[in-house]
Amino acid sequence: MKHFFTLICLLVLYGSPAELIAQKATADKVKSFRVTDANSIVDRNNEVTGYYMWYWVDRKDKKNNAYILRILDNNTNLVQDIPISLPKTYFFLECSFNGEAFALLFFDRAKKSLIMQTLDKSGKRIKSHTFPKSKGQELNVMTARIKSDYFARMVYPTDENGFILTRDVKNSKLGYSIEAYDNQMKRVWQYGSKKNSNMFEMAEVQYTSDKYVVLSVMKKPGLLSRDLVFDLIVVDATNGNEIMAKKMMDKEKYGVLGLEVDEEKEEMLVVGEYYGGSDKIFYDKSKGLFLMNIKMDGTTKVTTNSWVREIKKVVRVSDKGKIEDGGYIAFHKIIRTSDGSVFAIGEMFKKTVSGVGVAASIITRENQGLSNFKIMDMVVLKFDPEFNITSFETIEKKDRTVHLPAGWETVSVNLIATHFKVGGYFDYYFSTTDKDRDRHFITYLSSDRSDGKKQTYVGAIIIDEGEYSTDRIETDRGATSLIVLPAKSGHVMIGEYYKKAKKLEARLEKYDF
Amino acid sequence: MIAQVLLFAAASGTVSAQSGQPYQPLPFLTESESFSGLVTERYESSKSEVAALDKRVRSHMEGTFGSIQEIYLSYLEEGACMLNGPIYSHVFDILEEVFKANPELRHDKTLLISRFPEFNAFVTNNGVVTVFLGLLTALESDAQLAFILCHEIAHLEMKHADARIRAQAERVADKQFRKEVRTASRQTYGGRIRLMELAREIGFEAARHQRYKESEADSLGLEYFMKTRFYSPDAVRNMEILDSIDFDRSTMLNLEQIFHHDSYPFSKDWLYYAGASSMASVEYNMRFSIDSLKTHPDCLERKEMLERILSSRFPGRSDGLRFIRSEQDFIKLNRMANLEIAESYYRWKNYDLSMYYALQLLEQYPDEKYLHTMVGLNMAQLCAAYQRRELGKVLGYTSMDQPESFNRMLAFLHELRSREMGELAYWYLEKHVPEPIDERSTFAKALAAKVSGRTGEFDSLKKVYLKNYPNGEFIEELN
Repeated sequence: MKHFFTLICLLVLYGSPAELIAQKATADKVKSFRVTDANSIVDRNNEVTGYYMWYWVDRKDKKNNAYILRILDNNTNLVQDIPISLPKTYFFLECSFNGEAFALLFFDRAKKSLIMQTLDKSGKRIKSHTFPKSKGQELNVMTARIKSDYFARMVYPTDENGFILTRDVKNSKLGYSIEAYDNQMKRVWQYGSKKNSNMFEMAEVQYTSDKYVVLSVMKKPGLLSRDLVFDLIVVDATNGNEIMAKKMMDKEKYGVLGLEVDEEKEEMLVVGEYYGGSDKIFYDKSKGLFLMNIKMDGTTKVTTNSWVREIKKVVRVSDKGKIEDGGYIAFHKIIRTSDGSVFAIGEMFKKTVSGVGVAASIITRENQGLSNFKIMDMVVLKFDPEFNITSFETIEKKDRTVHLPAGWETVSVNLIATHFKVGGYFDYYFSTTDKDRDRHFITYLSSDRSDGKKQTYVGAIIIDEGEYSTDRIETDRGATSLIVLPAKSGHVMIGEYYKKAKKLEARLEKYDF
Repeated sequence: MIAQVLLFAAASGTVSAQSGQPYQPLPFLTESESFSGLVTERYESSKSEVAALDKRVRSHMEGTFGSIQEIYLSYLEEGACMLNGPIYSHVFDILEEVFKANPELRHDKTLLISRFPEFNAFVTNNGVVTVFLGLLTALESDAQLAFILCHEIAHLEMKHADARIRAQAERVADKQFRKEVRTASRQTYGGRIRLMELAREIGFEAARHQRYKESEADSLGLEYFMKTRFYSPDAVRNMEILDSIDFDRSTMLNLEQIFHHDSYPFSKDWLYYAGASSMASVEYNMRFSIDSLKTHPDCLERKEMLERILSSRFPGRSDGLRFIRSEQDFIKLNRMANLEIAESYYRWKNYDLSMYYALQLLEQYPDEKYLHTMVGLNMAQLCAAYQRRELGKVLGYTSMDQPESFNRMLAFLHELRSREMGELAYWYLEKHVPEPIDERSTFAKALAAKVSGRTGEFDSLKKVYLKNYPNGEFIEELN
């Protein structure tokens, strides 16, 4: 399911672009900034290798505009400014880099079609390809991206020779297509849902390399149906042939939260929450956490930790997964370290208004106001290599109230969690990984009070050498607003905007652990 | 401002530290009524000199004069100026020698030593001759500096700066140019691009103008120089030095050897290095042609021109003074300039550059206690910043346009956790400055104790500092 929504505020600068130089950058005369058009460039391990900024320069002629694609490395050194001329109907979506070529994705608002262009390392255009007119869900997603800050990644680098593009397509219902292109925009292969499938299917790329592409595919019989299941599909990255398709369901259902591929051992490790066989994922409360080892031949081994048995040994939790004196947990990231330990990072939340008042308002048809929820502490669950839970710890942060329209408190906690994730209500921002050194960084944003004043800070949970620690980076109270971006491993990019001074200061800050 | 990464020139001889006593850096000047008064006065007089010109030309020129005034005032405020002291007086003596040999010259030039590390000197229309500390580290003799001063004075005598400012003002005020600007700003299509092109043209024209004038200044400067007592071949040698300046001659630092201590062994993990840039494979493009913006024509061309003039106008002349006082004095100047650069970086909170510079200088001056103190002090300051979670404000990152040795040092510092930084600072100072020997080393050791969590030791060192240096410059930081 394409719910990849990042809370990250991205920026584009009007007027002269900021030169983000190493150490600290200041951009003056920043009249305003917009949450689009700049993002990190990630490699196939999802590690930040740089940044791109896309900005408009001039109207070239009646039909075309002049733009600059600015490329920075992951130390924010300016690497290249690539001038690009395009029809003014093109809307910039994203930029990817595979080590040899850039891929730019646009949407033509007039012709309602996707365009993908590849550029070589000098910024010279290699090829441009226009896709057939977008329809249905793809068109809806494009419209959402144009009108709002909604970001749903579609392009992934595989190796130095190409990219993968994910698309929603019209089958008899809704389907997906995963298309591999080389740097010359020649289609190498295509894999997707069956045209005659009677299910709504939405795919998310979990892993890419020059050997495998791994997808998690959410399927449900109807658009409004709550009865969804996941498939895990492994595709040969060289030719698009299906290697394995695993239904994430046996007598229980499994919702994927994290996935790792060990190409040497030809196996995957999948983690997430599991549900009863008749439960509805995202709607019903999970039964606990699972760890699944799947070999490429399909052989599977599952280990579970349920709320009512295993997890209860380390923390007081109700049968429905509510932590005593706490709340429910929404898991953001599950990590397996090289020694086999597993860490599940989540965030607690709870309802704070009973459903009775709401029910009364429904009966009386009077607006009784809002539904209140609280976003609470971060949590870390640790499991040993046998997936036995060994500890449950909370990382305190200030509770924050979220208001939703009246009636939401009657909705299931899982759906609330999903809604919060998609809507960016949680304090969790993003996670980054240093695969070489097996370090993982989970970033969130929170605030507390010191000296009677609000102090916003960037919080981090760091997993290194099989243990976790925390860190916190305070931001400048004088800043009007804040931008927080993923950065290279162990770092975070913090931008502090001062509206009165029309100044933006950005710096790479290192976590301490 | 991007801090300049240093390219080292070999000193003309290795000098060991004065026995025992560490170098005491010169005071940082951030105020000078006389200098700011002079700059302001010259700004006003520059304005009156152009009062009769066309309104537009005058307005642009006044704007440029104002910018020049602001630059100098901000130099002063930043502590970038040396207007007195031993370095200043040494250079001033050479300047005086030039004036003595050329009595026809107007003596209304003001000397400024800039603390920036660039290999450069320049003049502005207000008669200020600026010599950078970096230049003083690169030269081999007073005679070479004398030629450079003659070159700059020639610019002033021929009013090149005024001519350039006027030419640019006239260009901008030119009817045709203004029409082009108006047209571009009203253009529906391509107007902004055209405006950027026009701005770029102005910049390139200024650079071309400047390049032509360099040859004139070389020629007239040589005339002034040859009237002095200085050694004439050094005028030519200057060009060879300038030509070699772009080569990185910094030493690859053996960080393990530098920072290892038996009580805190060095970890090879700290040497992890992923390269200068994550985008090293991407073509690194400059937006402007480098050659178009060069203001100094090819040094070898200039060298040939000087040789031609010397052989035709001054055949057989190869005598003269290389040093106005003594070679030892010059070597001392060289050394002081180097040490002051390390100090300047520290004062500007460029702890990474200050540490790097100090480590490089230790190759030349291995016994200089000041440098050892600076290495430990910079490490302690980096640690303190890290503990405040402000490391990103004081520690730079690797980059393709920096020397590899600097990049590796940066990468090493980024590998450290704050407790490791604190320990390295502490043990480095234990090894090289075991006892506090002056105010700076007392403060450095106190700070290192503090950031490494040695509260007791910090308290006693603080007491020592407050007792011995009750008005010391680091009091605020200790409290």
